[in-house]
Amino acid sequence: MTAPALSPGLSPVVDRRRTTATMLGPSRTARVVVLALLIVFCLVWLAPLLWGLRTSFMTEDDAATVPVQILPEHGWTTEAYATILSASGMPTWLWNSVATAVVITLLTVGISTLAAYALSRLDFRGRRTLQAVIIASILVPGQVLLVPQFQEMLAFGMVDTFWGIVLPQIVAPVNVIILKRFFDAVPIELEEAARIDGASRMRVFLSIVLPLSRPILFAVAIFTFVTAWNNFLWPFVIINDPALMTMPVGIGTVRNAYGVQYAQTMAQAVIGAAPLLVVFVLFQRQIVKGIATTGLGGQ
Amino acid sequence: MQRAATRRSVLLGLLAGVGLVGCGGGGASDQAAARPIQLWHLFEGADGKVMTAMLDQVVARTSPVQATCFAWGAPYYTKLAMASAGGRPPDLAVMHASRLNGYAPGGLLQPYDMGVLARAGITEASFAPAVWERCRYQDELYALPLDTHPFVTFTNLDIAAKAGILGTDGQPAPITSQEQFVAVGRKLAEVTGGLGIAYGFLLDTAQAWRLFWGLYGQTGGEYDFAGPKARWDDAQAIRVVTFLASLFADGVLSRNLDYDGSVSAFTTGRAGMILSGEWEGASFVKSVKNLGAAPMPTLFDRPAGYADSHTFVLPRRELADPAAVERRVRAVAVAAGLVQEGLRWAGGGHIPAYLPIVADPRYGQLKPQSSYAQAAQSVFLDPPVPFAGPGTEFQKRMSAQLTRGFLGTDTPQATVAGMLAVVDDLLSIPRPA
Amino acid sequence: MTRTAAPVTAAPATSAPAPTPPRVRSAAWFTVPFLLAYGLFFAWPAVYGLWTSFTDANLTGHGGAFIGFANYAEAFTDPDMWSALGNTLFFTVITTVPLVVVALIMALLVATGLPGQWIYRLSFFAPYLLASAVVAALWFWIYQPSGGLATAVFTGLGVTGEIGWLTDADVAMWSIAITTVWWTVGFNFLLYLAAIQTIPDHLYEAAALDGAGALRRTWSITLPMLSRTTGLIVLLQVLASLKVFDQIYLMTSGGPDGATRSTIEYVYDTAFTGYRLGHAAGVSVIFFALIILVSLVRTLRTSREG
Repeated sequence: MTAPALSPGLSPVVDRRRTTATMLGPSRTARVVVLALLIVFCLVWLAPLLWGLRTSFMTEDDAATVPVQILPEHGWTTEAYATILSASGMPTWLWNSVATAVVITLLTVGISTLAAYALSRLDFRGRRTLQAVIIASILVPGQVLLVPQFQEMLAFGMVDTFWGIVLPQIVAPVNVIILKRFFDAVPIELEEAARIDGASRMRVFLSIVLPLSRPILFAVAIFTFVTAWNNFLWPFVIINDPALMTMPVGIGTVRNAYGVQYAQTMAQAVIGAAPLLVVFVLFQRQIVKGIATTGLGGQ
Repeated sequence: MQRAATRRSVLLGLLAGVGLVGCGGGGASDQAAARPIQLWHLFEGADGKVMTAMLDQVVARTSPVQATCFAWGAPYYTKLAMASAGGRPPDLAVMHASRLNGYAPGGLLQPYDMGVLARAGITEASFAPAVWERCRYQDELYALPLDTHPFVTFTNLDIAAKAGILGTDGQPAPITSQEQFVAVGRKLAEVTGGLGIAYGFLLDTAQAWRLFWGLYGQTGGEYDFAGPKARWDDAQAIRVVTFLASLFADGVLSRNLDYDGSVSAFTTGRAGMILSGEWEGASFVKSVKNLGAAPMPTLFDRPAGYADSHTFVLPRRELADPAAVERRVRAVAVAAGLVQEGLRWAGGGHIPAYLPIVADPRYGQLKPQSSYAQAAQSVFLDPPVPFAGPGTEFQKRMSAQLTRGFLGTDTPQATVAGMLAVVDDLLSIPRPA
Repeated sequence: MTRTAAPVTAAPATSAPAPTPPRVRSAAWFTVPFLLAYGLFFAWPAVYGLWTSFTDANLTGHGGAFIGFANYAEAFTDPDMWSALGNTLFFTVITTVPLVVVALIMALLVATGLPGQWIYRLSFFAPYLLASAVVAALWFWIYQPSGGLATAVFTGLGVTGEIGWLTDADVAMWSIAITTVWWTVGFNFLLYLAAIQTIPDHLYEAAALDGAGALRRTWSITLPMLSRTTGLIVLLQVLASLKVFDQIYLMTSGGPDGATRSTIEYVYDTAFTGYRLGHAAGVSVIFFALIILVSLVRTLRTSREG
């Protein structure tokens, strides 16, 4: 079975906006109705985040006020953020998230790209088998391996370690297939020319193919980073020590000894949400294109 | 070629750098003797504030401590077990005494060295024999008790005065029979116009069990859960459930109260008395001007009340080098220090386990804590089986079964049979030797 | 080195597909890193997991003896396992439908090209990039019985009384479903949007000339051309929903009283709260078989249609 793929007829350009006229015709009413619906949807979809944002800038007393008031009696304040950033595990967890996500991304992209190139360009014994195995592996959800992977880390003494978080996450069969498909579509002439000139395969790969593959590498890297950053189940299982927790695990596990304080909880959520939202704003085009054309990012 | 090489070396350098940091972080967090003593606990809210205050005092005397609070119940205990299995657990952890049988036999804990404890000023004589015994397993001390926290009654003395149930000392007259209990409930209800005695149990995973088990203890509390089939005194169990069901049927206890509802009913004066764990005492003191308290009244044959105990345990760690041994000694010192701060902990409503504090006149002045201090003499604990304790399936399913019995959905006989079936079911889960 | 004129017979036909590459030894440099990682952290755990399912392996380190099919026999007669499976299937149904329908509606609305495109994309897709713990924290606050937004909204709409969004067994799974739809619809929305934008303009123009209104054009042109995308989205969504863990564990811990516990959470509880690694491995294998079944059913259906 092939990897879940979109029909080959999809154009990679998703920014192209069809003229409204083509879609809606001349009717003014249609435009107004659609616009109204869109606005309603937007407000509904933005509301939870905005609500969390609003709560995070209130005092704890205001946050706990019943019945709910939109605006706080005691005005806006950043005290929740100050507390979270100075007196909670958040800074440590954020750093752990950065470190693990970066290393996972580098390693995953590295080994996947190498393997994908080999599958695409090189012949070696077991090539077809390897490809079939990788494709079949896409069917296996990570959750199914949870218990044996934990046992393995236990045996290696890697529970509650940095590499315990990272290593099981660098195997991504989907990336290999996506990259292979990309390499398949790259014309082979440049590489052949360099080969005839005497370059080794690794040199050809590093100096010709990789630069040409920047867009796809970047897309794969972003998605790997996002997946690693947001991953909860594995880091949750492998890490118990609060000093090693990644941001999602810290938020989801450690409690405030003073009891539930919602302004702080929301401040923590906003801080946790911010990095990837920034990533999205910066790399919106690549992310959207990546999803639309390669099926990257599926849960 | 040049660019590729540079790019590659930059990548490798970055990788190495982050990897080193990662490795360093992973290693240092474990071995560095300079790292503060790691204490894990599950005290959120009022208890958490008191614990933090106690830690401030203890840290000044012994060692830096970094405390982490986890969600109460199964999440905490699961993380503790996994950390212990993984070999890098915290230096010190809080554990309910009832949970000891799920951890000590499996080898997830390490016993205390009595010599080290003695140097910190703690000996067997510092605790009541009953308390001491339940912290031991196979002749070794695995848990250092901090407190006993029983299920008691709190009374709003103003409402009680209007109901005419106070004795000559201004405290509620001791309740010594079921009839008297019912009468008190009705009199209080007349004064408040609604609830007499508040008791929250709906959808709660523990409250029903707490009330039942303590009262079952009052009937003699015979049971044998060693397996393979669970056995207890069916007749007595039915007797307790029948009595409790009648309270609900006759309106002495409300059929609709959950935990938070019962607490708020008592603090806002809509109920004159509440059956509650003593840990709520600290919040009651704030809202009820004249607060009285007493151990669970003896409604059956002998005094007994449900209780559990917070203790400090030492998760198993390989003491590979002198630095690790020194850490262990410091951790024990921290635990001992916290136990000796029991007066502050008692301020939160708990009965300190450390006898010198119980004898301290300052403790005697704590109201209403001192009114139920003798509950510690007649506690009836969770059965010492590996699956019992707070936050367990056991308490959850027992409470669910009991709720049906309370509300009359099941007959007392069916309820008791159902509860025994729960124990059988949990006993049947294969456990390795 | 200059290229000499190659003999005509040896000139490769560049218009043909890539010729079979010669056998290469240096391929090892490319494949070994992946094979190493794959072997160590994927293949070995897969095999070991299967083995563990036939043992009574325990978290405490005791146990580990071979016990044959005992774990499987116990799992198939365990009401808790079936209940978790039932919850998971229920969750899958009540989330897949809105996650497809709402995404489609959103995509149809946005594909009309009205101004504000980036706002729409941001609003609908941004939640997808949030960590599950962040989403759970936000919605746990929203679902607070007294101070939460959900109750406030319902009170504003005139519904009185407190709703136990996460504490009422009849409501909890629906609450989690609503959270899940909010969280993940953006992904399907983008897939649909991309698909709609590949539909050639002239189809719409021709239909407009024939007098078809906007709604009619949507019905007769857009929807049929999206059927393949829909099939794909449904498959992806079903597979993802079956694996649900994060938001359920974080918001209700599988409660109240197991009413929302999913299969993966059941595996977690059995393995780490109950210490029974062997039994949990068995349940994992059963679950894996279910995943394969779903994927196979879908593959068979598409190959029959295709």
